Amino acid sequence: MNCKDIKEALHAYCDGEASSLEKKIIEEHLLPCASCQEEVAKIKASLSLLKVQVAQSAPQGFTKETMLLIKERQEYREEREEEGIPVDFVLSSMFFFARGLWRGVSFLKYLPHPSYSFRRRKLYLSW
Amino acid sequence: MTDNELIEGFLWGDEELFEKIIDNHKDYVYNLCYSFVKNREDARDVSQQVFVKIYTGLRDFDTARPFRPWLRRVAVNTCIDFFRERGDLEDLSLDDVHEAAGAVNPSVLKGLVAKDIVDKVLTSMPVQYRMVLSLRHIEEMSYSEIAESLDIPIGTVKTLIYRAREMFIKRHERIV
Repeated sequence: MNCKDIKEALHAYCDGEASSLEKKIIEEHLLPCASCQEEVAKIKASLSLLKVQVAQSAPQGFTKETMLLIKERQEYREEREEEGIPVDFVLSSMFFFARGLWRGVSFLKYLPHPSYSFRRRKLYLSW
Repeated sequence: MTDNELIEGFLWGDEELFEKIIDNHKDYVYNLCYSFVKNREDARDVSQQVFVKIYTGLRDFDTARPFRPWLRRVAVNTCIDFFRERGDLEDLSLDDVHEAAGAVNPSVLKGLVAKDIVDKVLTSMPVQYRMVLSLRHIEEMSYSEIAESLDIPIGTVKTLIYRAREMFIKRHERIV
């Protein structure tokens, strides 16, 4: 296996996610290969960099704002329920009505053209 | 009180306990969302959405199970929905991501400490790459857990992580 083929597997190897077979192949390859050893060192350095990211904390007043949002949503939902017919039901029935209408209209394309004569067709077939 | 005790109390009708649940986990959720969206305003909106979902979804939560993994899953899914709504994430596939797009301008980085540089480099990277790196390094998830969370094959996770780290190393080397 050459270096190009092994490059992707090196990341899984550094993460401890390589299978035992992959691990064996990689370790055999790494022993004599200086460029892949360098690649592993680079990956390991990036791992430690990526682990130390800036920790963010939630902004002030986050809890109160979120509780307000939840209450607003709840009130909206209750209002909608009080209105009687649920919006979901109206939307789905509109969808099925429109689909039915479209199918009804599109069926017209299977009808013959107005200039088509059934009588002539009948005569032709009998002849 | 533990998380599950708080949840049980909330489910019994004590609404105020939900405030405590938010207080206990707001920093964790905000940090996770920020690591994905890399923008304070969006991170705040998305983390609020997470808690709204948690509020309505807690009735289906099994209190015998730990709360954190469930919370994490909801947060990750909410972030994915956020990106999908914005059209940033057509699908989590291996679409070619332009190398030059969003490259970091080195002059912006003068005077920043190592942590901030890493943050800037990650911000300049495409969403897919940022997400897998955050899940792997901040959440310390295994490849199979990432695959499950993002609903993609494990092979795709391997390739995404490989490409993301390659891009990260290149961009980081260019500016340091």
